[in-house]
This record gives sequence, structure tokens and C-alpha cells, in this order.
Amino acid sequence: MSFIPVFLAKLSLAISLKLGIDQLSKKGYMPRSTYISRALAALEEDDLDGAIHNYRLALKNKEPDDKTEMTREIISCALDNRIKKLEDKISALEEEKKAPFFSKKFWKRKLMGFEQDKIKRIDQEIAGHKKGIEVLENLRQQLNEPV
Amino acid sequence: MERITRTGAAGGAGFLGGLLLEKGLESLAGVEFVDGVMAVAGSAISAAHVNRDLIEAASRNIRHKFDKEPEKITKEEWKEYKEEYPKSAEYLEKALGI
Repeated sequence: MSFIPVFLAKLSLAISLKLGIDQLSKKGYMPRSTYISRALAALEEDDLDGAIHNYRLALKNKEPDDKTEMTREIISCALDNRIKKLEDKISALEEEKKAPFFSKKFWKRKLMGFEQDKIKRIDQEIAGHKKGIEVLENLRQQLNEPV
Repeated sequence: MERITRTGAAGGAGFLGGLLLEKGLESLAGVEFVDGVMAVAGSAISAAHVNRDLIEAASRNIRHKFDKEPEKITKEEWKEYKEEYPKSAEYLEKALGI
């Protein structure tokens, strides 16, 4: 019979410990390296939101140091790389769309409505990439906002 | 006969209920507790791993930025990286003894 109170005590200790750690973790009271590790792990999984969230928690209640600054630069570089890739794709698509004034392609498109579907598809793709860049710029803003 | 059936049904329901309760408590007392301990231990371990993680993440960024392995980038590319991300470059230089 003494098993039940002991078991209940262990159970409540386990639950309180878990809840306490969760709360400390959410409020940024865990060691800085925990959040930096989590931010880098999130970045590796392509989770930029998670990376920025954990980076900001690493700064909460603490002064920035070399490691947080390096983490900020790493996330910033990851954002820059993604933006650059999208810009390159936009340039390639615009190149594909281009038709010089004196080319057959230009006049075929102009007079006979050639490749209209293709142009529409390219425009949609460009719009999608521009939206992606906008999202990444917003993330950069979040990254650089003071905590 | 009816009493035997009722006793059997009640026994079966009791057994299932007990099994569910046992599994529920087991997951609370076992898994959650282990998770809590792991979270604390994880903090200590992550402190030891964070330096390596930073270097790996920075190397990955260099690989994506220049489309080549970090050891194959030119002096100009390294200079460019250093200008854009001075802290990371400084840290990498120290860590890798460049």
C-alpha cells in the first residue's frame, strides 16, 4: 500500500519538473548555449522561424556576446543566401521572357500571341519568388529587432 | 448464465480501463520524467557542442554562398565573407587556426 503515495510523489515531482523546465525554457532562462544549439539545429532543418525564435531567446535576459553575434551572422548569411538564390532565379526567368524588339520572337508574340501561356507561367513564378524574398526580408527584420 | 456474462463484461472493461490507466501513468511518470532530466542534461551537453555547431553552420553557409567547399574558396572570396560577416570569420579563423 505504501507504493501508491511514493508513486504519486514521484509523479508530481516529474510533472512539476517538466512544467518548470518548459516555463524556464520559454522565458529564456535556460543557458544561452541551449538556445544557440536549438537555433542552429532549426537552421539546419531549414526552419528559419525556429532559428530566429531561439536566437532571440538566447538574448533574452542576457547581454549579447561573441557567440550570439556569430549566430546572428550565421542566420543572416542563411537568409542572404536564400534571397540571392531567389534573385538569381528571377533574373534567369526574366532573361527567358526577354525578346529583343528586332527579333522574330518579339513580333510573333506581339502579333500572333505566341507563347502567351509560357509568359504567364514565368510571370507567376517571378511573383512567387518576389513574395518569397519579401518573407525573407521580414524574417531579417525580426532577426535584427532589439529583444 | 446472465450473471456470468455480466461478470465477464465488467471484468473485461476493468482490465481495459486498468491497462489504459497504467499506460497513461507510465508515460507521465516515465517518458515525461526522462524528458525533464534530459532537458537539464541537454543544456550541459549543448554548451560543449555549441562551438562545433557554430563552425559547422558557418561552413555550411560558406558552401552555399560560394557553391564550393570552404577549403576551396579563394582569398578574395574569404575577404568578401569576412567583410559581410566579420564575427563569424574571426571565430572561424581562431577555431581553425587560419
